[in-house]
Amino acid sequence: MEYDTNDTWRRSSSPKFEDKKCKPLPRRSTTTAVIVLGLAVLSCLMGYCVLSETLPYESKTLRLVIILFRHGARAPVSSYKSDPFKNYQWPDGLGSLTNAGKVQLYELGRKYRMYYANFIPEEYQEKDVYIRSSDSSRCLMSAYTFLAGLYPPSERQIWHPELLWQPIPVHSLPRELDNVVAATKSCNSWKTMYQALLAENNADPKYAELFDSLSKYTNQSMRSILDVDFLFSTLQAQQEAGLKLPEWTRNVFPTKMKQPFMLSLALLSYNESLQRLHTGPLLNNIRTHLQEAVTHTNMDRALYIYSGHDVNLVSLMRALGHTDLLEPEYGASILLELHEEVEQDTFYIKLFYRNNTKVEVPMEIRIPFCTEPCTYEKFIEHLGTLIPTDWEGECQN
Amino acid sequence: MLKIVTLLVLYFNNFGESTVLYAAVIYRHGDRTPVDTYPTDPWRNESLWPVKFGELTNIGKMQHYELGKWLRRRYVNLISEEFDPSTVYVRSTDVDRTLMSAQANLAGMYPPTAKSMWNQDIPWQPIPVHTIPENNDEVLAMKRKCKPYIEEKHKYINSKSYKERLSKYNDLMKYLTVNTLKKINDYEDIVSIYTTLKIETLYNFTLPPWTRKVFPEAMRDPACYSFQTATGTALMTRLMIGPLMQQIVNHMYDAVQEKPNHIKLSIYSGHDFTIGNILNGLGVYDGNCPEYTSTVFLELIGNGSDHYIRLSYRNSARIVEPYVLSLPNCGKLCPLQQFTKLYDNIISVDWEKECREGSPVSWFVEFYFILLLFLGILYAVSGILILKRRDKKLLRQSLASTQKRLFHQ
Repeated sequence: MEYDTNDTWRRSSSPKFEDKKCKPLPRRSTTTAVIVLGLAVLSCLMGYCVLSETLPYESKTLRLVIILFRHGARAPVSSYKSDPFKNYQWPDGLGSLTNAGKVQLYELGRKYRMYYANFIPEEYQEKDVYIRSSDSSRCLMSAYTFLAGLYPPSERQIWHPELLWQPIPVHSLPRELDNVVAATKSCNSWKTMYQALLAENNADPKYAELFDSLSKYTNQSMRSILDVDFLFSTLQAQQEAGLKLPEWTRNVFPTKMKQPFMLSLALLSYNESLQRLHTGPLLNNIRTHLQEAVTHTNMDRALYIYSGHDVNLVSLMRALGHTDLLEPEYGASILLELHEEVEQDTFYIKLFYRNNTKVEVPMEIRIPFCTEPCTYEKFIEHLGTLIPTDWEGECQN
Repeated sequence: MLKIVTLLVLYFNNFGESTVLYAAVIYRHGDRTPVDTYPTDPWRNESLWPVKFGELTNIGKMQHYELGKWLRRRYVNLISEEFDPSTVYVRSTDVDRTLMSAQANLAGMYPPTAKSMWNQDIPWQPIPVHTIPENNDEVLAMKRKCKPYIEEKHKYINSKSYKERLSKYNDLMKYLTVNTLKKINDYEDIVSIYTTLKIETLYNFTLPPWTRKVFPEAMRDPACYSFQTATGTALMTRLMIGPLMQQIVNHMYDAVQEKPNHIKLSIYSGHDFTIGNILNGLGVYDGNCPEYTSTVFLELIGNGSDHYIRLSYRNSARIVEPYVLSLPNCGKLCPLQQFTKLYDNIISVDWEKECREGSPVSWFVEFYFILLLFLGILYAVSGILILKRRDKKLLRQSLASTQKRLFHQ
């Protein structure tokens, strides 16, 4: 992933007290000095390695956190004509969250619990947090397991002696009405623009060879990067489930298919006009959350959680100015933090990304349209340019 | 004697062959804290309660967990052991306590099997509960705005018979208003106080002395009558429970036709309001307020090529067997066709169309009126202006001509 080599990221929580431990040096004899120094350095290093990943994020300025994550590992959504696993019995049907996927999101929830231990109250309270999910089953279920990890019941909340889990409300909207999380509500002008852009990209001669060979091997027409997108996801899910992919895939998967796959995810929000319609309503929600926190109209609610799909993460990243092609893995998450510098009476925004659930600490990434620190005003101003005042109208629905 | 025995055996055999082909289960959430209190309530301080107002309590979670276990046993032959999203659909109103009740219920209904166990420490698995914001939800929350409904309800509560019936409780309402310092005008106001007092009793909170005179006896009837007023007329019933009944009956016909992957079990997580509307709308409400976890069952029974609807109800927070309700003019085992005919007024609703009607039309009329008014004002104003200007012109002209005349002289 491009962010791994990005030199702008840094560890968000470097514990400060360890520096002090390193300073006092005994001078009685050189040998003891060397040993003590060596041990001190070693323990400092070890302490840093261990603690920096488990220690809660220390921040006195943090006011609000918004998390958008992708669901966990799933069974393939579709199949293709020559698919040897066409009749494979996926335990819970096509597109369903697998047990591995449940574990991924549970672990992610636990990691955020640890990471934000000083910020997110240990006990779940309705007033502190609002959770919204895409209506698709795998997203709802991912949200539930994430919450199971984030909010294990406190002693007071244990309602069943053998079940250390508690129900937490997750709000959603049917797909045909959802223009915020899944962004699946129909939008005519978006569709027209998207289809033109897709056709333009499909006509790119650089894909001709790939399309030809995929059509041949799958025994079905593969003439669009959208077809490549679906095939890529299917092959990926099969591979992760331990199925042996057919021989022909070796030449194209993931190698040659990856770029058109990532491009296909990006096309939905490729330019500003598409972003306004595809991501604008989510940005509008984000803007409202930030505004409420800054103006103290909603003091309690300091955590918003969104459970969506890979395209939703890609769209948000693109709207925030990161236009490199992305492939968010299962359980990948984007974090937006609002900080307050009380003395200077300023608010600023930080952006973090975690490409999968294995990463221990989210990495901070620069917000391209903003100089650091990115002030709230500057951030809101940018969001404003991408938020339609009349979504339905602009969609020409 | 032998004849009777064989007949009985035949009867039971026959009954044994009948199977549940589809079930719609509509339940109320579990134990909760009061949604609202009244100004003089000694227990109105939220911190006296285990959770925030209107939220599900631990007791409520356990009640639904137990109900879920019981549901599993009831439908052991209808649904698979593993949760199957293509045949079981769970829907809740978009309210914390109903969303949480549904989750707790499913925890009891679908404990993870060896195969679906994903975390050894937590004997629970996630199961999707779908929802939709209440002001968009005409099916379960029954709160989406519908102008013809509002108009009909307005007519209904202003009718002579409604007012006469309500006037029986004038003294009670006055008494409540004086003691609660909250305006008590209607059945809905009474049920709000009644429910709060009932919850406080459940939590062993001592009620203020004034309540002894009216709670629970004098308040119960008017309080529970409030569950009848949302389905007070045929049109109100059609617009209120039509969408839900339509959905359920459609699922039943899908099951009769054995459509591939048809829904076998629909679970709806709602409120006392939901339960009351359905029962009263179908003409079987007995006047008792729906308790926590009270459940309505609409089951499609297949017996050979015959199909029946069986309506059952359980109205207790404890695990009790439901009892079969007798549908008016159709009985306890109502043939599906006959049910569809009898309740055609409810099932045949075209909610989108009927509720949109009225609104755009009247909107258009309003718009037209405003336009006319605006044009009228514009006309009048411009008329006055023109007249004024003409007056000035005339004045100037006459002045000029007088001056001319004067100068000429």
